[in-house]
Amino acid sequence: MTQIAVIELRAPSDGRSGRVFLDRKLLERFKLEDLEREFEAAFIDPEDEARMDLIEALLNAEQPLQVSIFPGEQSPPEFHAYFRDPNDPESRLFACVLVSEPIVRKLLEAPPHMVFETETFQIMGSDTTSASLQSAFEAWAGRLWPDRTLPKFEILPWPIEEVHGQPPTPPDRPKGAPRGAVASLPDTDFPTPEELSA
Amino acid sequence: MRLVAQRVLRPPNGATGINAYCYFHPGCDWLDAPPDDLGRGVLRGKIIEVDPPSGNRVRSYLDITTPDHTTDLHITESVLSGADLLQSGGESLPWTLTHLETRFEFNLELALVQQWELELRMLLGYALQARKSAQQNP
Repeated sequence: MTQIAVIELRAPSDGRSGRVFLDRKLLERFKLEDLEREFEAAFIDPEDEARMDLIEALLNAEQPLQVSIFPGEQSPPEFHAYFRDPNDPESRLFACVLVSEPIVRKLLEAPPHMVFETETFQIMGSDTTSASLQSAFEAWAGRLWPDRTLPKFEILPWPIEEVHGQPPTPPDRPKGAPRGAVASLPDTDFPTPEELSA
Repeated sequence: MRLVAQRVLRPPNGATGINAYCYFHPGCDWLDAPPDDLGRGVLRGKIIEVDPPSGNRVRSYLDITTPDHTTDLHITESVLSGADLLQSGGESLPWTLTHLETRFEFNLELALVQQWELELRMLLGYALQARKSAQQNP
């Protein structure tokens, strides 16, 4: 299995930060300055500048911003995050892709054996619970706008809003947690291998 | 139809994710609660994030039984409104509710319980996606 090294990088020009995940064997071949240069060059596609301006305008909102998250086509899936404009609830504005560690491991198997976090690419751990998606999205926003106060983000997991044709109404207050939860469920994994191969 | 979504943890390497399955029951229909002798059905659709999908620890699950022709919208409303009812009634986990021809069961471990609403929605999303994969690959 590939041994992964993770290095925190910061673009010298604007302070935006991100990480590079790379095969540890490559550490001997690259200096930190090389990685920072590549990070800065890869950080944003010029065609994305206009979209980033729209996102920055949304971030001025004083109310919480809703973020829809949809899975991609792969398995395990990457997650595509979109802002929902409070002034135009039908529109979606692409924010970033949240990518879990198993996918990063796959990417590292192919050249150049390194993956940068960028303006549209945020790496998260292998835990894809809704809390982890929220945390990863907040980390993405914190990387891109390190000096500004960000609004609260409300994560809307898929595909409920697709089914209803409109976003779910956020509850006035969080509903209480159910009683009786146990530390570890007694249930076993569902299908047997025989079922799956039938 | 039986739709199952499980958040699982693979102990050897800590891999975690949601596996979901869609089982059909061709030729079966019912007007009230699902029959006890329904059986698991024929596996037609699946989403596998944690592979292999057996021998894993289950952290949360949603298990829905309903006739094959039930719409996604009806399933969604049954599960979400049923969960609201159980939560407001202070019911203890695991939650099981039968409303007309649809039954669902939901449970999650203590570490996830504070985010139960989002967890339920995610599991439901995966369950419906497994159904969609079954319909796209008949």
